[in-house]
Amino acid sequence: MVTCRACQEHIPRLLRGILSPALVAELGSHLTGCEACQVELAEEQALSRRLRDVARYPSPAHLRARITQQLEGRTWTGIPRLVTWRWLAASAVVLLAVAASALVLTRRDPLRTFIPEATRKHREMVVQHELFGFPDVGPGGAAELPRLVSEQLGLPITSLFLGDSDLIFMGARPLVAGDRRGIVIVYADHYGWVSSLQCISAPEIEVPKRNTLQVETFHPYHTRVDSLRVLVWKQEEMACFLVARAGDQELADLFLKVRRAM
Amino acid sequence: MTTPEPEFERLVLEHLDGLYNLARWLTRNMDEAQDLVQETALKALKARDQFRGGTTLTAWLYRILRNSFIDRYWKRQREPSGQEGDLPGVLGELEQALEETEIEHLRPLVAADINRALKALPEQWRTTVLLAEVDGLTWEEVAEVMGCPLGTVQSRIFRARRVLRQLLKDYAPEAKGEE
Repeated sequence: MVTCRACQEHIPRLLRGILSPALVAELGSHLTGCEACQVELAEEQALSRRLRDVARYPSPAHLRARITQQLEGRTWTGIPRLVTWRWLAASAVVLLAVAASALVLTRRDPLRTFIPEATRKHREMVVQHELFGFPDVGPGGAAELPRLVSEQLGLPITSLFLGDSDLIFMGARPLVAGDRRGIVIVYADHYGWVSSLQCISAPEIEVPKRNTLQVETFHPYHTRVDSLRVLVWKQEEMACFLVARAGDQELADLFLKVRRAM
Repeated sequence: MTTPEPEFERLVLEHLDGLYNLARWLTRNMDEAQDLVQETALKALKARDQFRGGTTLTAWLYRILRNSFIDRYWKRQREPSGQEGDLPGVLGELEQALEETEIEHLRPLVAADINRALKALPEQWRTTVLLAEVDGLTWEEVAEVMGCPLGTVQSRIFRARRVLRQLLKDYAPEAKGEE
């Protein structure tokens, strides 16, 4: 025989439907004749209904991208607290050293060494972006960039993509290796994904006709280094490297913005 | 056999909403909840070889998240400028005290609605209720997440529901008075 106490203790399980049929039948008999337990059951049912109203917090839209990025070893502009500043600073020093040494080697085998160098420089810029940011040059300052690049670096650039509503111009840094000069321009989207355009004086480089990606009328050379996508093309005596973590469509859109502006 | 990494990653990401919801309830802070979910996902992927049958991925992930939350709490406690937050240790003691006393002691924590009532519960009770009653985990899964015996889950649910009902009753006259 079921007591009121036992019946009431079973009610949460009864509501979850995890009691044996025999026990359910036994409780049913008790409930039929017990007003106190009927009240208890009604209150428990009401609570279950109220619990359906408990707030559920949907995950922010960018969280998935942030975690995916992190899971794939990508770097997120909002620095995860798991990654210490000390680690990032050490990485920046290592990347700078590797980048400097790699630039010196570029004359040996131009494209083969340029592409890894471009990706290293890209990562260096990601660290720069995350750790220190870029000075705010303002719209006027950014607008001056093509002229400065042309005059001071001698690159054949008359205009540059300086960002739009989707892609923010973050900053630029000169690239200098021996007598070779260039520039790296850094963009980031609103989720913090960083892309870089690197232009360097490299008259000797020939961009292969194979492994090209057709983007409208353009056919840049396309390759991957780890999870980075790299597009390479020549513009007069300048070699351009667009480095990004992007899907096919995003990469094509990015390329068009950059390429059409030049 | 271990699930291939991309597949495992996909499975983990499928739990993002649930993980974030629990993280928000635990931390009561949007930024901290995001960090906690990210930490959980990374830990899960790193330790995916340790995921075995006998539990569900949901329970395994929730357990990692909750343990990470508790680790963060204790770490914060050791820091001189530690914030006052939802304190699992203190609330664990409170839970023990509650089990020995009457619901009357919770009256100062009267909640205005079900969310506030839930927030008034000790963390161990609240998480148990959230997992079992809101997320729909089985009691066995809840026991896995909480790292406690099944009987403890049953006891917590029973007691938590009684407290919730009392809190909501206390709220009812206030609501009527406002009309």
